[in-house]
Amino acid sequence: MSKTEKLTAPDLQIPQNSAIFAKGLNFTYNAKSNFAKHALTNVDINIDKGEFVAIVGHTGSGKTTFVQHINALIRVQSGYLNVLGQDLSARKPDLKALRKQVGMVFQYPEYQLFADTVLADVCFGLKNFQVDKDKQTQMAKEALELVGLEFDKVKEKSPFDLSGGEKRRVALAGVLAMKPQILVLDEPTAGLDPRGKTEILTLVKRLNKEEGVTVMMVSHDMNEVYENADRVLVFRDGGVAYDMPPRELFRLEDEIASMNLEVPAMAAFCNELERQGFVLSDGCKTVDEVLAAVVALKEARNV
Amino acid sequence: MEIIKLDNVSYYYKAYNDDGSVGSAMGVEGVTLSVEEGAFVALVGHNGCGKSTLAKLLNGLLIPKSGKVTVNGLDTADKNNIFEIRKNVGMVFQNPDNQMVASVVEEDVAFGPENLGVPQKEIVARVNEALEAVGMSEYVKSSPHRLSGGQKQRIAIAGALAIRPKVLVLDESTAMLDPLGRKEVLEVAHKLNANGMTVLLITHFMEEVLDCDRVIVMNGGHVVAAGTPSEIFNNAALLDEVGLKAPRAIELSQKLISAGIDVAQQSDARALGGDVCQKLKN
Amino acid sequence: MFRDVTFGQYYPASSFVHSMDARVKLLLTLLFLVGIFFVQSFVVYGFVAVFLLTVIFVSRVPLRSVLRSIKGIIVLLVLTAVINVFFTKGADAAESPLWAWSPWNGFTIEIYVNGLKTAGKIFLRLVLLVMGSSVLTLTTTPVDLTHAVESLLKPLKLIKFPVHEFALIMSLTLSFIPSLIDETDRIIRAQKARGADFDTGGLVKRAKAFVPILIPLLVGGFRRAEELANAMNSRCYEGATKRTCMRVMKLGWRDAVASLLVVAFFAGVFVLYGMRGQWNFITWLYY
Repeated sequence: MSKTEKLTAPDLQIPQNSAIFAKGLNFTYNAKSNFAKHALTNVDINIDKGEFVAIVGHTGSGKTTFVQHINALIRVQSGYLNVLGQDLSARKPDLKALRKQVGMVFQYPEYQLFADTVLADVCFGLKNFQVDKDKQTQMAKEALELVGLEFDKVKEKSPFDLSGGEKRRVALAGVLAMKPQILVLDEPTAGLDPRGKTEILTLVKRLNKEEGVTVMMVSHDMNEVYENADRVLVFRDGGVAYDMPPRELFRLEDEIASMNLEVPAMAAFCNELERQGFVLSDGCKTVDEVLAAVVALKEARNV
Repeated sequence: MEIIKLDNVSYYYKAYNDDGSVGSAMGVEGVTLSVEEGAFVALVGHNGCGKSTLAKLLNGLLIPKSGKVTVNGLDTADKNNIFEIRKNVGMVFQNPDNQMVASVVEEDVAFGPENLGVPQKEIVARVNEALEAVGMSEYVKSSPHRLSGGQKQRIAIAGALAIRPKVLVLDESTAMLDPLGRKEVLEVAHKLNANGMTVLLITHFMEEVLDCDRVIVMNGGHVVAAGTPSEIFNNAALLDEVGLKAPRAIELSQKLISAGIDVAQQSDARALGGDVCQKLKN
Repeated sequence: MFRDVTFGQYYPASSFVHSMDARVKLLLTLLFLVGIFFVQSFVVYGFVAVFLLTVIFVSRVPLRSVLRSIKGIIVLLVLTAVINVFFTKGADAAESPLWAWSPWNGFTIEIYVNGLKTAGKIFLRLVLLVMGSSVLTLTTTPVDLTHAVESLLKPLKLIKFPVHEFALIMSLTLSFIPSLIDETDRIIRAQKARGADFDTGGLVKRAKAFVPILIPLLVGGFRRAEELANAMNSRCYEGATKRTCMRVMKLGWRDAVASLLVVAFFAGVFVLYGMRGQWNFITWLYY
């Protein structure tokens, strides 16, 4: 990777409200060996503060590599990346400041729990980021309540004694306690039952809508993507193949099928109606929204 | 013929109370059910409802505290039957990485027949046949680690098939897979069923239940309902109570029907869209 | 990202050496390792080196791959060489030092020709040892090695050594290493994202920083062990009784030829060793 093509901030005109800004981002695993593998090629992305972006793509599409760039778990090899005003292509970005602002929830986050009490585990991040001792408990309490756990009931329990769904929420609280401005989630609902899924998604959506947290969510569940995201990035072969609102994306049924992805049920339904001349508003995504729109359409025709 | 029969089966786990004393936690309680030979049965319920406990009762990994489990007429509580029972019930678990015993595909699949003391030549034949059945023949010499989640689970199924069981139990085998992997595993399961294998699919993905002969719903350690998929899906109150959800298209078609738009209940969203258009045009 | 651990160092190729029976390869390598210790002279080291290079050539493994194995012991090599150069005295009292230096009274550093010779021999011995054993691992998969070990240890069953269990543990370990590495990697990244710092601070602080990695790994290990036990039981595992094995190991002509050559070569080495100081007609062999 040549250093000469390195870009700097002033040339790039980063949008005012940008949370994540990538320009010409490249990444190669094992760059120097025979096993070199291009994971990202010339990725340009801008995500504004407060957006809810879903990231979609198969294993090896580059999505995980990109996501890990956001809090410098993977360092920029070439190209430019700016997260919340910090230049991550700089030689020594302030990792602590960055990681405090960018919460990252990995797949099956309950497998990273380690402390002997729930409280200690949730405080782990706060301690690492040197939050005042007396503030830690308060912040942990808020985070645990945010994820729907009763603070006094769980704080002294061992995280390993909780149920699977509760463990995941504790792990989530451990990230949320830092009050991150950006929340990156890698398949946050994997392995959960429908009830657990709804709980997590409702929480994430609330953080996004009420607290203004910028959300990036990697997901394989297209229904979930369709109903929650404002915008979808489809990764393919190390690049962004599509970048558009979900309703627009899932109109492209042939392209979606050729990428071996599924069209969400409600999108397929609406697409069929559109094909036959009945256009529903793009805002109809959940079953109830679609139902209301169809009923309204029916009534309008009966009049 | 009933190949699996549970008669008023209960199982309790050892658990520690807050004061450190030993108590018990209910796994399943008073479960009575049976599975017909050749059927494709789904067992659904949210996490912690007892469905995985039930699975482990089927091949003697757990022995009921009360009640009786019989497989092909054999009681699992009798130690002498265990080997025979496990030969009849192949089991595939949730995490594909945690059930591989060898670092080469063929050796992993051979593990079962090797344990049974099958002669060497026949093991090779069984391994090839099992890999063929799950469509993984070309990976015979591969390292399982390099395969996708769906492929790993197909290897695990092949490992179970090599024992030549009568029943295949998929204990949340699709839970950790992406949609593509889930589809692969389900296709294999249905294909095996078409060739006579009894399949018990344990899952919380309601989309997977659609093509089953019968659905058993569990909640809080009890069987709360059983019926055909459409019977279960029609019972919205039940689904709500046990924290499950019908696939979106079915839910929409049901709600359209109650709103007075007379469509057929169906799982294909596009077809449903077509139906709705018909109604709107009239 | 790393190479597939399950294949270890294995260099896939089809050659005389690759297609030999793993048991024979393992035994011959052991013979080689023992034999090396009976080599006394540079001349015979030369023979051994030529012999080993021939084997490498026949195995079609690039010499570069074999030499790479030396990289791992370079510190050890330099250290033993230095120690031997400085601390070996003369062969007899008559030998005077080649070089001597006395930085202060009562302390002298001396180098003898004998020291240089000893250092040279030990250096050669270590290099040949490592190269020899890496020929085995480069031409044999860990799976085959496991089978070979199991087969060779079979006689130990007589003294109730759990040979089968031992081999099973080896095989299970092999199959778990890749996912263990993945999991470690995942946990490290997850804790880093929560601000964990593994790179700064004193020894105690760094050691403590590993607790959040080790505990999840341990907990995961237990969960894994339980699931694996269930999976194995479900597949009718009942220990070694009446178990059969899919893998057949067959001795072939290659094994006979190779054994004959290696055994003959080292028989020569052993005879030479036993006759040292007696066979004056071939003294050059003892230099």
